Amino acid sequence: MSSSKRASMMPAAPKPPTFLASTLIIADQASLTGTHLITLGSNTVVHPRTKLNSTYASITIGNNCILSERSMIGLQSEATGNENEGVLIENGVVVEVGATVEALSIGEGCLIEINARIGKGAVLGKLCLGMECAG
Amino acid sequence: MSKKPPKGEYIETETGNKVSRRGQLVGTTNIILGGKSVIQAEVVIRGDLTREKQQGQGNQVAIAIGRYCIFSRACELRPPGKLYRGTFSHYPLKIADHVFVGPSSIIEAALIGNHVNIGANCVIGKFAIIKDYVRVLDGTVVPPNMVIPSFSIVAGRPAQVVGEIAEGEVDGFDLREAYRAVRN
Repeated sequence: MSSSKRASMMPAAPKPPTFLASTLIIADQASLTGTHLITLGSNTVVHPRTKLNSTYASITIGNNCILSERSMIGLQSEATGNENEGVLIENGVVVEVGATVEALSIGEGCLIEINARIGKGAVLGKLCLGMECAG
Repeated sequence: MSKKPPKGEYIETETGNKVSRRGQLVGTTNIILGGKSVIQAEVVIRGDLTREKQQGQGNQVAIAIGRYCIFSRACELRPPGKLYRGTFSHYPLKIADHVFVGPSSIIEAALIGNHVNIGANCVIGKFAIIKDYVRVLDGTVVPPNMVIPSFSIVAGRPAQVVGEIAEGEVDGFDLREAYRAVRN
């Protein structure tokens, strides 16, 4: 973390294997952690304080996506059943501030609204709106 | 947190703003603070989301904040953005004086007037306009493009006007005392 000068007591989180496209924008305060593969497509924007956690399953994000601040992508707990296929976010998906995405797949052009939570194993089709604001 | 930080929590600027060291201000050159505002820990202010570059324009203001504004812990200020004539652009977020924003609220409004009180866990949608003396209760979700008239109380998901502010209640909106109460 660039903001804090004090060293953390914990050892640094393991760096995940990544496959990053060349035309990708990742803020320096975004965090990519975990042990499984994280794939990010071209022209995707990752805002500061976004957390991509691949501890339990892989994360695949398509082209032209926007992942806003404080959003959490990836499974937050142990995978069961077919959830270990990982989180797939297709092209042109916008994840707004504070949203949590644990879904199996999010279709093309979806908009996940502020503070929405897409739970484990969910499958969203094309051009969906994932709501459930505030809370 | 194991140890108390050796320095005080807040940095005080020349104009009297109290900004937490753990606040997360991005694009600080595009943020204008009017003075005597309080920014608490973990507040995210996105000054880097500015207008699409246009010729002949020097510095761009992304977020303008007036005097005596208080931003509680973990709230977020983000300029609204939209697609206009084929180009996506962010537009300035203007906040007037004596505005209180509760913890964990997310603000993407275009304009927030004087003496506005926003509760905890609220979401103010893109390009919403909140006029003067408005109280937004906890957990409210103000939809995008909504205009909230002066002296109203709003609540609900989506937000609806649920009441009016009586003449006598106006005193409670002054944040000068609250500003003074914030010390290191």
